Amino acid sequence: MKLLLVDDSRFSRVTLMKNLKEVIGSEHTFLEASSGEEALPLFEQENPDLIFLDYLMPGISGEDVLKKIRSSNNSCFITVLTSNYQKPVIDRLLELGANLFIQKSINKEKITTIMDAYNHFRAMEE
Amino acid sequence: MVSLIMDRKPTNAKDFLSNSRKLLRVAKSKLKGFTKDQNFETIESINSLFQTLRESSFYFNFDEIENLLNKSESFLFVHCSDPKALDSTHIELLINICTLLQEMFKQQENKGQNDGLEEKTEKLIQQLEHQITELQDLPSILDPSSHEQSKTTPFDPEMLDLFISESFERLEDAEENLLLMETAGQDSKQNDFLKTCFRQFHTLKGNANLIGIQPLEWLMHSAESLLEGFSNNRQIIKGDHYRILLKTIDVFRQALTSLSNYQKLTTLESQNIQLQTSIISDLLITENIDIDYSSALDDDQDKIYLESSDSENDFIDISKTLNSEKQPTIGVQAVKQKDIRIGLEKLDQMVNLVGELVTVTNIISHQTHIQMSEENDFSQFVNQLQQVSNEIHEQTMSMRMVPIANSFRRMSRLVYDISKKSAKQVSLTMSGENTEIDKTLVELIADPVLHLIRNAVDHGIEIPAERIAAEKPPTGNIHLQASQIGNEIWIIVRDDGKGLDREKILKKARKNGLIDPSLTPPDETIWKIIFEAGFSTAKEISALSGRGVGLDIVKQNLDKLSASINIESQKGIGTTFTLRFPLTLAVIETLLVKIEDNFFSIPLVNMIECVELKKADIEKNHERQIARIRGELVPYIRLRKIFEIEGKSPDIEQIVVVEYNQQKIGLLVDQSLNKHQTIIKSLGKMYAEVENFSGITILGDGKISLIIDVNNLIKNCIEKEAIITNNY
Repeated sequence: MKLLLVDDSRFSRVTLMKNLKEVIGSEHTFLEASSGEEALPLFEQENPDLIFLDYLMPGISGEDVLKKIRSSNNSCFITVLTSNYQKPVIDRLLELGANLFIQKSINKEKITTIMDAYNHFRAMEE
Repeated sequence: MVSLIMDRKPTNAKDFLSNSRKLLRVAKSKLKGFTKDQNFETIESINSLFQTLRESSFYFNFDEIENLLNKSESFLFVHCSDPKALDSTHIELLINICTLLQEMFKQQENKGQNDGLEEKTEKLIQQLEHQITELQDLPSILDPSSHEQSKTTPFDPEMLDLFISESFERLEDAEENLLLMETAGQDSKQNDFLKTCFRQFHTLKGNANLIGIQPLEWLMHSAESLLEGFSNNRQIIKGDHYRILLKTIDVFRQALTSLSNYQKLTTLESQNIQLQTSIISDLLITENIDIDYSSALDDDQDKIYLESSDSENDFIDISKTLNSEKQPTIGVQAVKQKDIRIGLEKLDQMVNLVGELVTVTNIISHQTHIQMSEENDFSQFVNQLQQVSNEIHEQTMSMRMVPIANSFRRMSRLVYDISKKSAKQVSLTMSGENTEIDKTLVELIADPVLHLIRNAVDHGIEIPAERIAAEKPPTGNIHLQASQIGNEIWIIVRDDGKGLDREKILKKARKNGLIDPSLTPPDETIWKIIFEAGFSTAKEISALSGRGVGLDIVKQNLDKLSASINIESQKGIGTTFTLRFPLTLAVIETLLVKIEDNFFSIPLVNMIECVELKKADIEKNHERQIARIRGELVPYIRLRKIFEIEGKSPDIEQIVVVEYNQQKIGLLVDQSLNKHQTIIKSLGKMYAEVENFSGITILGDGKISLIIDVNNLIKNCIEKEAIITNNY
């Protein structure tokens, strides 16, 4: 499985990756991008299965990244991370094609839930 | 003090006192009926009562009451996050506080005499402090969200380091944007700066949550809400707001420092954070901004929303509808990382090792010419080795380079602070912030640059009225520019103030005996005088500069870095200071010289030229240590004598002419050999007292050469009167 972690905070990425590895093991491909600008070409090139996308980033925002990816690709599972919990934002993001929306305090339980959702999503596809 | 204010606001104070006592009575009865089930609300209400009382006490200058309340709040603060930890002793303590407060208020009301209240207060405060520190030692209080981790070590040290360093960067960016925001005023750009600042606070909040430091998360949450409120309501942001937000950044920084020192927040930091959070919260109320507590409070809730086309609901709680499945394993591990962080210590070690490698390579290359006939190919390999080691050296040195921007950013805050303190309006502009300089240099140049900027605000920039009279814009400008020119980094500090006052400096310098009264030296010489120890022309001593200890320290620091300074100034137009630093500190270009069998290295930055000195010339000048070089008289120092090297000097000696304080001075040596790049090694602590040398270097053939600290050497010689100079 190929995972792409997009967050401008290195601390956030590292924490997320650490949690991810503890839950799903480290035998996957973990890609990192520190901005929307970095994420988009990396997405084109690597075509990841699962994306963790920070909502608030400088430059190309998480929302823009989401729009851009969804304009050409529907098979990638996109989880939007944010510590902002506002219903209109969630509504808009889900409308734009985000598969999941999670609040940013990441822990193993949340990762497990996300992975369950991901597997379910893949199962539904088949 | 108290009575004065009471007289001014007699009714207010009286109302406050009697009201407070009533409120305390209610609080006491609540505490007495305290059960663990409804604990949180009770504690919250007591907390807010204490907070209100403290603020009012502050207002009425009831210092002791304020102090007691302050401590009580801190005590509650550590408890609020985990009310279950409250036991009957704590409740009793709270009841005692209320009783004491009632008594204190009563005393104030009657303006009565002190009847042992002080003693009681002290005792209670001690008890509180004891409770606070006891609780602070339990990291789980500060870190309630990750109990499993906190049992052994509160934070993963590596993650904490990452958190701290990233937070520092984000705070700097936020600070810069705040300052830009204020400068931009109602400009449309202001919103961009506000957004960036908001985003940084937001990320800081998220990160504080991830690592589990709740007080910081709360602090950032309130700061973020404040900014959000401004942005939503299109409200005008006032100077006070900036000050509060800047203070918030300071508080966060202090917390980070304490975290990096003690791996946890100290009591003091927790108190400061809490206080700052409450200040912002109050501001949110007065500014009518709704704070969205839900996003910060709901830590334990798993807010996960799933987009699902096959469900009738827009959102479904996936944890309930999905069963965990077997985890898939596809693909291979390939972690991509663009950059990694390396500790400076490791890098320094690396630089040292590479230095050794270069040295060893030089030694080998020196030896090869002897063995060349036997093994012809050998020299070729040595050449290659030399090339590779040189490249490694270059690369390693470049790893130490960081953009100067970090150092510059601090300056905008400084200018902001000092222009607020003085009656002057000053803006700071910058260019070339991306110039890369040696990491150690970043720290070292900050101080001199800071001094120069302070000096520019204090002595250069005029007050608005003066500026308008001189047909200048009321806001003065200081421009900070960095650039790399050849092997040097130039940092230019330019102000558009009144310029240096030639006459004033000259007068003062003559009075202080810094200049011979009969001389009228050129401008450059006069400008340099302001860097002399004990020179200050300021009429009044201000908090910023003008104590006469500013600029001479700059000069001293610059000398240590073998940096030079150049000043240009025009009356009424402004002053420009140009600082020139060597690109890297560890490698300098030197001239290798020899006296008997001893090698010395003279840094090329100091050197002007190298000329011969014949026996006959010395005799012509009657053994006085002065040489005539192209018609100019140059005093020289016989290094053989200073370094106490025995033996007889050759018939033809060499004078290495160096610049010292705008004057040419010669250093007499037996032989000058060649220029070379020198890797400086420090003399070590044992020789820290040695004044005339700044370090040693190892030569190609393994011999050692001492690097002469030219400025110090000449200074010492002048002091010992071992040299004849014109104007000293």
